[in-house]
Amino acid sequence: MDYLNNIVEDLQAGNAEGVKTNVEQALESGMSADEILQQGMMKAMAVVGEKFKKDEIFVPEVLVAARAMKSGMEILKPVLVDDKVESQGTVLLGTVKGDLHDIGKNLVGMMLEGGGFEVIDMGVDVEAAEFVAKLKEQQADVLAMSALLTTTMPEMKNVIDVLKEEGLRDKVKVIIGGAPVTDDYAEQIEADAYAKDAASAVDKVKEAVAALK
Amino acid sequence: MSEITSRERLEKTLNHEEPDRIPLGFDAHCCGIHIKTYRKLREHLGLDPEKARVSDRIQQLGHLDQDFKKKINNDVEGIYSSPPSGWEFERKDRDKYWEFTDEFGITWRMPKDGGFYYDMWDHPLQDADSIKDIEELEFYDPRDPARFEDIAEQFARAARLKKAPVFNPNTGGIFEMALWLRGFEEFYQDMILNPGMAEALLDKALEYKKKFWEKALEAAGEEILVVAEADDIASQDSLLVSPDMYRKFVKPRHKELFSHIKSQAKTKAYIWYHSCGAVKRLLPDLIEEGVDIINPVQLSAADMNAEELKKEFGRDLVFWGGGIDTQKALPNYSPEEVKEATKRNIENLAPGGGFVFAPVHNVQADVPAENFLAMLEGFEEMN
Repeated sequence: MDYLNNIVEDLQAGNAEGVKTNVEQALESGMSADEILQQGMMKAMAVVGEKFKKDEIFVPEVLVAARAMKSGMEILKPVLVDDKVESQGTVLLGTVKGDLHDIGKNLVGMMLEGGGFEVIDMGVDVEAAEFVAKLKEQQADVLAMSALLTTTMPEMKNVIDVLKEEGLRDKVKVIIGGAPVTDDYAEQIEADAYAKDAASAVDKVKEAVAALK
Repeated sequence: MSEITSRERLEKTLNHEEPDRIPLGFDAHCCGIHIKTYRKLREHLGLDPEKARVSDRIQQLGHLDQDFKKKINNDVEGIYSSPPSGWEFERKDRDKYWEFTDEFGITWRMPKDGGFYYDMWDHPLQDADSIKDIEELEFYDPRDPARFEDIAEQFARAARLKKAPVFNPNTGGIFEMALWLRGFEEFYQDMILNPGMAEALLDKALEYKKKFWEKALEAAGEEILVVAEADDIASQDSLLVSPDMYRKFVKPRHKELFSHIKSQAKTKAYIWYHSCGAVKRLLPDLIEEGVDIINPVQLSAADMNAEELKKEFGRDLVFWGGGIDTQKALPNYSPEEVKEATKRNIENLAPGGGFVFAPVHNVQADVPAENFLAMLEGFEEMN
């Protein structure tokens, strides 16, 4: 049976049951969890991300793919932990203070998980102090912040300023996104990168983590 | 020769003719001003800032008073329906947030500290798993006369002032209603995994809207001119769903709704349609559905170049908005830059008529009064 190809296809089609069954069967056949993750799940999510970037698929297709991925990960995750497979890196994710928007942020989280990253989603309306406390506790590689509003965007700068005050700025890469955010703005507030959509966020996080190592 | 009235000015514009000057379109849906900025503006214009009060709670927009509209020479009078009987705004204290539940059962929250708007927090059909769950959700009667009690009076006032009335919607469009009632992620997934549920919910929204507008238009009588519907179908860079999916789920229902509105109106009604974002790919579909006016012409979104849009769609669509970008320009530029950008946009959108001036979206809380006034100056100079 070609479990990996099935996973890649079922995941893209949003067939959660199919992904789950194939992950189970692949594990039973003796395939390593790491191989299933890399050659099945991550490969499929990379295709999803590419198609999303090119406007070949849209938010609904990405959501059902991510849902299918989650159902496979439920089976796979405990095995990955047992096998001591390390994630690609840890990302702390959240929408900044004053802003309750979360769809874009959630999509970023899903795509990052699909890229093999550990994602700690802090939700919406997250204060600078909460980001800082979590960063100290988890030692994440990347802080990914979202803001949908021109009026809440300045809070991203505030968080970066607080990171500096706390002596954390050099220890973590900061990536920002959201409708009004631009490359220029990222540069202006001294973030490390701006990602224009959920798929690009994976690329940017990969680059950031590589730069840390 | 007597001077042309605001209503006549807009009628000419809607007919794709160039009137004496470009109409100013504040007070239509999404052409408002955040209460904080509105207060500042009143002060700058020598009007009592204390008079400012909120009209749109969710977006925290100021109620644009007659003295203000007169001062800026606005051509439009926004017409607003009332809440249904039995529903009242009740603000609850929820720890860090202010919270209220709207007439549809959707919960909204605004951070007490640093919040600018109410945003959705909870959706009544979040846990629905069958068409039956959708059918069982009850709405307040869309035909409730309480909603339309003072509509005739509002139209009469617009007529007295010789202003152009725009009948604003009481909630989002059918696609937005579905997303808001079910929750965004759930509804998007339904469109693929449970299409029957998605269609049932869109039908429910459509029925609500058809009934609402039937009574609304009856109350408006022969004064009707522009009917506004707002249904976001695009994001900053792209569409929210694929064109095929839009055409399968939403387009036929949009078409049905817009035809219904036009057929129920006592005199000719123009359909004013709002969708933020990169909406260009679906403009031909919207035209086919009967949309006459497109708002907001989001210049900062992908592939939304004003000059190209005018060239390609200017014969079929009136552009309402696009006067100044509200994401970067209006809050951040210097007044001089705002003025220049405003003039450039007008040069692109105004020739040949079919353009109503308004910024791309509501003027937000971060806009300096000087920039707003510079925008108006640019607008005046182009006239």
